[in-house]
Amino acid sequence: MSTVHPQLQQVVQQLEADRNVTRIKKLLLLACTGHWESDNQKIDLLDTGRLVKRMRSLCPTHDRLTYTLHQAAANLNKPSVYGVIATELCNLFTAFYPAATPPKVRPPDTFPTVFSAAPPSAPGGEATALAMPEAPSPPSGPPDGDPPHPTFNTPLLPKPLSAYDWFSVRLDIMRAANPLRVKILSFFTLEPQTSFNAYTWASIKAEMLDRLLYRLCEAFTTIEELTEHINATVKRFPEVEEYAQTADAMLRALDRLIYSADPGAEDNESFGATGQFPGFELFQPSDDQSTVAMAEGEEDGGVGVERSLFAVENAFTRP
Amino acid sequence: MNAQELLQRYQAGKTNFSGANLSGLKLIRADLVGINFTGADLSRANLILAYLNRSVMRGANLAHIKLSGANLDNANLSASNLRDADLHGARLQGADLRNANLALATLTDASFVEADLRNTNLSGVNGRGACLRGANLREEKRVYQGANLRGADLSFADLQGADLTGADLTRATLTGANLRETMLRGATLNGANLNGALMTKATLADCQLVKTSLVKANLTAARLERACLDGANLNGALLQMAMLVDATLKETTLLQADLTYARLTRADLSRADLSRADLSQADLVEAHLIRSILKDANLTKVLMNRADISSANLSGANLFCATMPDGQIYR
Repeated sequence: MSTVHPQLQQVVQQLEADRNVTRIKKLLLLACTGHWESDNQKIDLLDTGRLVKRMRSLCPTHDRLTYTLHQAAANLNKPSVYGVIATELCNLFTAFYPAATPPKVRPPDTFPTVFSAAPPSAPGGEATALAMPEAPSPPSGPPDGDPPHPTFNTPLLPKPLSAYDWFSVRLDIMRAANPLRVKILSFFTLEPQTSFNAYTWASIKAEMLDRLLYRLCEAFTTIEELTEHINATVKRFPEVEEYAQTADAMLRALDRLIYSADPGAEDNESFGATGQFPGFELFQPSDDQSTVAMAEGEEDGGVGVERSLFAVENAFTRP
Repeated sequence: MNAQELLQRYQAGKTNFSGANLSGLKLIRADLVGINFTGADLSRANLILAYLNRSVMRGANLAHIKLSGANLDNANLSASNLRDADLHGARLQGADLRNANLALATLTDASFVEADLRNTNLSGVNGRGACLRGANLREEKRVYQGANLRGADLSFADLQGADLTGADLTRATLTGANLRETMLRGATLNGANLNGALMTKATLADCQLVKTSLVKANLTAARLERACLDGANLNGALLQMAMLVDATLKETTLLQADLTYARLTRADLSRADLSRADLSQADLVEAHLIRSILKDANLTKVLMNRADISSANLSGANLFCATMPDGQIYR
């Protein structure tokens, strides 16, 4: 159930009175969903309170919040402008993270999730569309830190990650595995505390496959570490066999082309959607139409995921 | 027929569902390998993560269908209507999509490796990150028109080695896309955005690239003979060893472009802005440089025999050992 923080209303009012409210909402939406919305009219329709609550629920600690917001700001083509906004948001959000915060357990989501403790079946007893993993149970041990998010270290590789040919990596994986399953598996390995809901689905759709692969290699410095985390994620899926096969294809390709690649191999000029190709800074972030507006006018749903997306879309865009 | 009935019949061995009305059916993750949906109506059906390898959907109505993550390897989707279909993360390797209509479909991160896409309508598709390596989209006179990719978003897509002869990519977005060794002979790319695209050894001969944006694109050793690049933006582009013989580059901006060893024989560079460009050892024999701007350009050892540079702005240009229009070596 949702938890309403007593200071929420005050924070929301403060944000809505800010002259940068549109940018604030853009940044929060990006940090929450991975989706960049450039249409200001759509942004205006978003409920600031819901964005704030979502941000709060996604970031159980203030450190995580700081990291998430600044990471999102850094990837935009006005990093300094959005960096200031990120800092202001972090300051404002301290109200939600009192020093004496008890247990760092994952707060309940304030938005409808597709799979709660007992995943609902689709009508007519059909199998649920995308059998996704639930977030792991809250830690039972002493609450002494962040949930186990991947750490972002510099990989122990002979050359920068951006110097590898990510088009080849993607091709290698696509030849042997299902691209959507690769994206789902990558996403939940990177965000192990996330359960499947409308936002994660939107994030998976918005983020390109090679960007997710790049982030995996950025987060896990050795193939052993990556293998351990991916295999742990596989076990969370009901369709273990399918995801085990996906994991195998991913690990083989990443080991061959990244972790164990010959450092002297030809120096490629670039790099897929890793943000490293020449002149990347010239381009606007993606305006992916397929994310936020994905279920407009749809009635069937059929898939729990999409029904939920529709619900969230309504919640987000209709005051 | 409802989904359960269809699955029961399929499991009992019936695979032919030609012409069936299956609109809106939910067949999520269904195993329907080799099924025959020729001429069937599957519009708005939900087949997310379904197994449809080697299925036949020739001429089927698949408008608004959900095929996200579906496996359609070697499927026959020729002449089908996939308008507004969702193929996000789907596999269509070796699939036959000739004459299919995919207008406005979502193809993000989908795999079309070695797929046959001749005469397909891909206008307005969202194909960010799609993989089309070795795909066939070529025009064949009197048989197949070039593929229609007008306004398509193929940012970061992988089109290496694909054949796009005669394709229409007007106003398409291909930022950061992989077009290495891609065949684009006779293609139309007017107003397209190819910023940061990798086009090493691509063939763009006879292409229309009017007002195309190619900022920082890598066109090393690309073939652009007779291409029309009028008004294009090639600032910071890499054009080392590029073949631009008989190309027209009128009013093109090439600020800081790298054209070392490029062949620009008889190229028309009238009013082009080549400020700070590197043209060392380039071939500009008989080129037209009327009113072109070559301020601070590097023209070391350039060949300009019989070139028209009479009204070009050469202030600050380095002409060391350049062969001037009259055949004299500049000292």
